[in-house]
Amino acid sequence: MSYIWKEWLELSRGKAFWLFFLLVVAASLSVLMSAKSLPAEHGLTIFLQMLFDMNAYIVPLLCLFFASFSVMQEKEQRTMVMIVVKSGPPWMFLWKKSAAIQLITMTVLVIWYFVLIIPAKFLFVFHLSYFLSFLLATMVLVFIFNQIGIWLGFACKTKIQLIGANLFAAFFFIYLYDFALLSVLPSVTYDNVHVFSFVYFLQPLHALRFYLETSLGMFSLDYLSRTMKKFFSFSPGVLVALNIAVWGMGALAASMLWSRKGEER
Amino acid sequence: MKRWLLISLFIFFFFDVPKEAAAGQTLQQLIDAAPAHGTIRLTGQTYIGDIVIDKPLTIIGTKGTVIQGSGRGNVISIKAPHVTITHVTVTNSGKSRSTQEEYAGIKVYSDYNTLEHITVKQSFHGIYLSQAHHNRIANVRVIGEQNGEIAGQGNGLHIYYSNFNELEHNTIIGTRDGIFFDYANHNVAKGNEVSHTRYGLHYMYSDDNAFHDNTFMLNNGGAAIMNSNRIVLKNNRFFFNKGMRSFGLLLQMANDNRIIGNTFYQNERGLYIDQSNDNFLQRNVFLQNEIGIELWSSSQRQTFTENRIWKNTIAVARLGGGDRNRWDFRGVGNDWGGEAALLDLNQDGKGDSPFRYASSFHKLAEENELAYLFLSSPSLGVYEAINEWRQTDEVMAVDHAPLVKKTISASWWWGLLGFGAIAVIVPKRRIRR
Repeated sequence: MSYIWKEWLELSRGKAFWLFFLLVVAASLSVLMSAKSLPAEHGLTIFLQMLFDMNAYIVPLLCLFFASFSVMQEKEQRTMVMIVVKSGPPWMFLWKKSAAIQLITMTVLVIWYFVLIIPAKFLFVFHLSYFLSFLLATMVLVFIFNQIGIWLGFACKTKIQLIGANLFAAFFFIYLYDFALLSVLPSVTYDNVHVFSFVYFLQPLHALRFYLETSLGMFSLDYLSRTMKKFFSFSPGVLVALNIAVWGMGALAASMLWSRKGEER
Repeated sequence: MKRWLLISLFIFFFFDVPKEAAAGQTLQQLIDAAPAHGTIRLTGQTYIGDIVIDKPLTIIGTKGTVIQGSGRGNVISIKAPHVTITHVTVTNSGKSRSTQEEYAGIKVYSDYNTLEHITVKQSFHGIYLSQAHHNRIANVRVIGEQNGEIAGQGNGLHIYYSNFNELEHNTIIGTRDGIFFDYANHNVAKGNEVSHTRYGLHYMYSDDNAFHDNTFMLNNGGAAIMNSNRIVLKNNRFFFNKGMRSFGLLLQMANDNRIIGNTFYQNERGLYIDQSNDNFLQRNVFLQNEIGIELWSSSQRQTFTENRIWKNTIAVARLGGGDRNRWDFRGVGNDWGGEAALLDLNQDGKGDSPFRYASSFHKLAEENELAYLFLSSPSLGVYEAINEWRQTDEVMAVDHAPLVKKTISASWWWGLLGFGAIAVIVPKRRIRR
């Protein structure tokens, strides 16, 4: 608990966190303003989907930078050594650090979205299940990119290296991954579409958008061709779990390996 | 005495004496007992159907009035003209698909009827007009099964071989098609709201209809005009019709339609034209759709003029061959927004040179339908830019008179604002000195 408090004090004293958070607030409010003229019956669905689309570009960057710089700061200020000596092996530090970062970023964002939903509740017909689906999708996004950020924080030696790695990670998920998929698209047939679907949805932004849009009843899976039907045969929930396992837990495992390497040195 | 008796009889037969539904009597008995052109006022309770109305009659319900069907047929069958039903909830029609007849909450077989302020639930079709003309259906709410098996649910309003009907301000949610016109001509659909259906509006073999001021949201397809001609669509809103095969408006084997002043916003495809000719599109807004206009080569001679085609991922995707459509009419083209960097040196509101919209997406889409998956991905923009740089993209549309909006750009507004602020602050400081 004291570690979480320490982490919170560090984050809340920095201007950058609040600046980034202000960006999320401003962007969310602009989405609300643009959605307010929608019919009350369907407004919430569309508002949440637009909000997630906006989050998909801002939240990964925010999480990558804060998580990675939080680890880097510990390394640079030598506080990491002190904590490791005090509390046990490096993986224990990693575990505490991950828990603190996840808890703080998730709590701040959840509080904000609960505040944001109050005016939305007056504008649109409210469906709790839709809002919870949105929160879940956003929190999974936060979890995955926080974990990747922590791993990058462990892996990089200098701040410049870390900025480069963060930008590359964001670029990889937003541009590069899809670009690679586009280049193999002509060779995708009915026989191998399952493999293509698996790889396509291994991109967390695709899987989470698919999960949210199907949960909100926005994305129709009716009247699909045979190939498309096979492509969309994975359940959205399974795809989200797969992404948590591969990217979130994968990054955690990679961070552990890295921290052990540090221990051996 | 004889005179008084005659006056009483006259009042009884020709002036409407409202009849309260008495306890112990079924609704059918009340209807049978009522005189022609009489009025029955129902209380806020559940009446058991199914009922048949075979004389001109007015039935007025109130809050809590429910007519519940047997689940084996039509809940209300209207077989006489000039019937009015208002303020009732109709539930539980037959849903069997192994019978010859398709059942509905209200089935109308006659002309000049009025159905207003009615809710239809748990029924196969909501309201079914069968060879019924000059009817008015307004402020009706049909709630379908939503996301059930598509063949297992009927349409919100089903208009079959019926002409000159008015369908206004109805709300339809979660049925197969919102409003389905089958061999139905000269009908007007106005101010309806349709969501969570297969097609919000569906015309088959139905000509000379009009639909305006309707809203279609979150459907598989907003409106589908198939094998139907000379339909006028004005000021409709097609929003958020998403899904791999979704569209705002589909024209398939539909000719000579006039599509004016409609808004297509955030659909998978705004407008989808296949095997259709000679359609006229004017003053429509195509905004932030994945594909603004998808045109198949089987479609020819469409005319696009004064449309605003803005901020779509792909403005125009032409698939399967050459462009045989007109992108300007009588010297007036379309407003392409940021897609077109145009000069207007003579300030006549039109670009000084023709605008050619080019794209390479059609190649991907022709090779593999999975290309549509990447429409919301920023990487598609990079793919388009690379193909533009390699000059491997193709011209999708040529507008000989593209419109240039005469507006002051945002940076100018900021400049003016800054200048204004300085103009206010500087003199004040001087005064203080």
